[in-house]
Amino acid sequence: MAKKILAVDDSATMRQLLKMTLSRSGYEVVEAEDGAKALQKASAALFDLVLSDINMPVMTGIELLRSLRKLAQYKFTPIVLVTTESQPEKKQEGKAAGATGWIVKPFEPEQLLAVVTKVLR
Amino acid sequence: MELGDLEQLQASFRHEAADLLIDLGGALLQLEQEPLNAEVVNRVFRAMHTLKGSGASAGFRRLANFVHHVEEVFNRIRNQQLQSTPELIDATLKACDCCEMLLELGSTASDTPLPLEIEVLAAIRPFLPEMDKATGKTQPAKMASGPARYKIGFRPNREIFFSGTDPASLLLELTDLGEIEIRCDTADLLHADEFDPEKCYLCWEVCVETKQPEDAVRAVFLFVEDDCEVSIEREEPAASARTESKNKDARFRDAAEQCFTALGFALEQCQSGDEKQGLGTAHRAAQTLISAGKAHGHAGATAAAGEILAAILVVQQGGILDAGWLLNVRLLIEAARIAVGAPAAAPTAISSQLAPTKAAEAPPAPEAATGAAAASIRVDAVKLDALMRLAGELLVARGALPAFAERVELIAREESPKSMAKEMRDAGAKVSRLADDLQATVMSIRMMPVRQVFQRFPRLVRDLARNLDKNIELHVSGEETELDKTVIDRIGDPLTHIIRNAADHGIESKADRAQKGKSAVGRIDLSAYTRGSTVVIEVKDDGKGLDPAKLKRRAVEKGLLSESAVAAMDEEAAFKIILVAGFSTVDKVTDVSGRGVGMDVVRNGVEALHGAVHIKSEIGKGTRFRIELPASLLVSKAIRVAVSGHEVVLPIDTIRNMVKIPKSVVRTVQGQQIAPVRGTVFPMLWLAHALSFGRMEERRAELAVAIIEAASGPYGLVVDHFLGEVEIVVKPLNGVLAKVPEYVGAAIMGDGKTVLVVNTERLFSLQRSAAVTQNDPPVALPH
Repeated sequence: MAKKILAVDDSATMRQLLKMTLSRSGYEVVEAEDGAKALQKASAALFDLVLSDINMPVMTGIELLRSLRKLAQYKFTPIVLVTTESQPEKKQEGKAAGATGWIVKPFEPEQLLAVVTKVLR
Repeated sequence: MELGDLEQLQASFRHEAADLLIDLGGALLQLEQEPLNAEVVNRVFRAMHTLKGSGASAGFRRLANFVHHVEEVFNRIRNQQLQSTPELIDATLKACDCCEMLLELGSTASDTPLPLEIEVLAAIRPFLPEMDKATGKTQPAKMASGPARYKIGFRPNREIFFSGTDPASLLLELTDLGEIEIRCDTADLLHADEFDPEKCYLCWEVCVETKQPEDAVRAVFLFVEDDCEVSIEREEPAASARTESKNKDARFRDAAEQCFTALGFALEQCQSGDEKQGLGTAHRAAQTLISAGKAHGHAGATAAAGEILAAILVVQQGGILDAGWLLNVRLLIEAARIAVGAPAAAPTAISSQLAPTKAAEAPPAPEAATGAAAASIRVDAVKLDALMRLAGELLVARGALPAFAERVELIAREESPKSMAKEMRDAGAKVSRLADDLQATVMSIRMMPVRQVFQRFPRLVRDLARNLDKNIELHVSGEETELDKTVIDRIGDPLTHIIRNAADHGIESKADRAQKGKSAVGRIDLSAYTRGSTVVIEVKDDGKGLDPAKLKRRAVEKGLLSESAVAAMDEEAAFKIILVAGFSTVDKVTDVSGRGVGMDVVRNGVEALHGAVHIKSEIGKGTRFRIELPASLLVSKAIRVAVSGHEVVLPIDTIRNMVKIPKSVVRTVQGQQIAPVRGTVFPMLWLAHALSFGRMEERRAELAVAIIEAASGPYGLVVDHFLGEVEIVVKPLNGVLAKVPEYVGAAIMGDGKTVLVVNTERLFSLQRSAAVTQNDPPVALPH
């Protein structure tokens, strides 16, 4: 069964890019446009991986991460932050909140696939 | 990425970026008012952030690089290292314009910076401590190196599972690099006072022999190196030769034995009633054994551990934990022990049945989430138009049904055709309902809030105020009011001209306002609201107002109008002189307006949308432009009328009411026929004459009159008969007919006949101007 990935980004372009790249590699991708919607979708269905932008309206990626980790079914699920903020303090904040890893925008499709393969291993 | 993908991505980014830039513009203006509002700073930052990130991802590198600099400034504001100033807002607004240009250029942008780009970057330079450090990423140096041996120490953080990382997966990743030896250290697990199955007590020592560079080895631990202990040492090849692979088996057996211990411990926990904890521990232990087995390439052990995991999962997913299950698991553990002892290559009988690990890796999803992401969609207007046309034609087609039923009824002498007629009527009613629904739905898709147009004006007014050195506030209301997309797309220019005119010529200079005792801040109100099927947009300023006498004088001086023409004008007509092409009241041509081009755009633009402009003004108090637009251009109701044996339709939205009046009440005053209708006197116009159809069909004592509400004022339109109400789809006329101003278009009737739609809005003024310019004799009352 195809692994299910929840792609969270407020930018439609980014969501499209994530979906395009990942679904072509056989993953099933569901999109969400902010943290709150992502949390809803994540609660309604089980995902193998959550890819989330950090800087989003309504609920940021970090808040989403914290909320997801509080859910029993996402305690150990890989959650990767997708962000342009390559500053170390953001990574630290993400790590502290329970992020599995990160990928820095802009990225090549191969880089994205490499990270996804890595954390879904 | 495939080529089509990139194009799709770029198209979607263009849409998104356009929206972001609009939002950014709005946020910047708000920030100018409230420089300390953190929420607004965040909005600005977020918009830029998305522009940059998504832009770079969609191939707009130039744009992304440019935005990066500006974003940096706002990052500093966000971190309170800097405060926003009007100069910065100015520069950032220009940056938005620059982004629009870069967006236009897209990926074809050459490397030569645009003049505006240079200007913006220069303007924001003072706000950045250090800039222009190349943002280019440093490519990791790819060292071609021969095989090397690395000794890796990996002690995960105890909480590592909570970051969604399985340490075993990292070990597995190392196996991709080359030959590997893994030793698991379980000392912590065995000596832990309290065992928590959700924590990681294990650490590993790994030797890997690989041709990959050291970076590749480090990359495996990229996400964990900050919170786990990771040491990577390169060993000399000479040293590596010493290490024998026979140790590998021993190490694997060590690791496996520790898993078995943990499993035993877990089963005891289950027996003593702590099922949940016990199962969790067992689950982890089995998984660790699977991972170790995989890492060691021991298929037999891996499969046997998989069986254990499968059994655990059965209970975890709701199965019963009883003595039978415990016994079964113990047997499975024994089988696994045997498998571990067996040579790596030989899978045992139990393990060949299935691969239960799959079940653990991909738990079934409870329900499929929908892929639909966006709450709103962009629809190609061409498709919408086609759909709209279809809906309209369906509406028209259903119009034929009742007439058909009537005919059947007429010729029917027997019962059955009569009932057939009834059925047909019912069917017609159903089609009607469907068509109405279809039309309403499609209409609603086409309808858009005027906000789409309005949102550009705060920036416009701000820039105008700064350029003209005036204080001007823009108050916007009714942004939710909806208009047809065509109208939305085309009303922007006329409104821009009106607002420019208000800011430039309406609102007085600071000194003038002070002298007149007016409030220091000039005010422009932009509002929209719906009135029936009409949408009204008003632009009101509290400036100096229009002087009708001055306008008239000026028009004559410029040779635009004759003395006699202006003499006959009432106040509103005089105001409308400013809408005439080539007219300008100021001598000084400013940057903003005054070139005498522009305001005629208002009249032409609005009339092309079948709308009307009204102007009200009071000297010293201000001016109000009122634009009335049909909410939708496509389907409308109309009244069929007969005139001189022809049939035409009158759009219903211009008809105030329809009356019959005795012919005797019509009088001729100064060449204009007038008649009182319900107490008000209206000028009268004979449709037959206006359309050059010749005389009215018959003599009659009573006249059928439609009171038309035109922008130029109400008038009575005399027809032969009113034939009834119809729904029509107005199609614009083509070729020669397109230039006939008496008609707005043609419509197809239910019976397939095509009839012309009269331009009631302009009919009267056309007639009057013809009378004035050609000096025609007054319209004679038909006898």
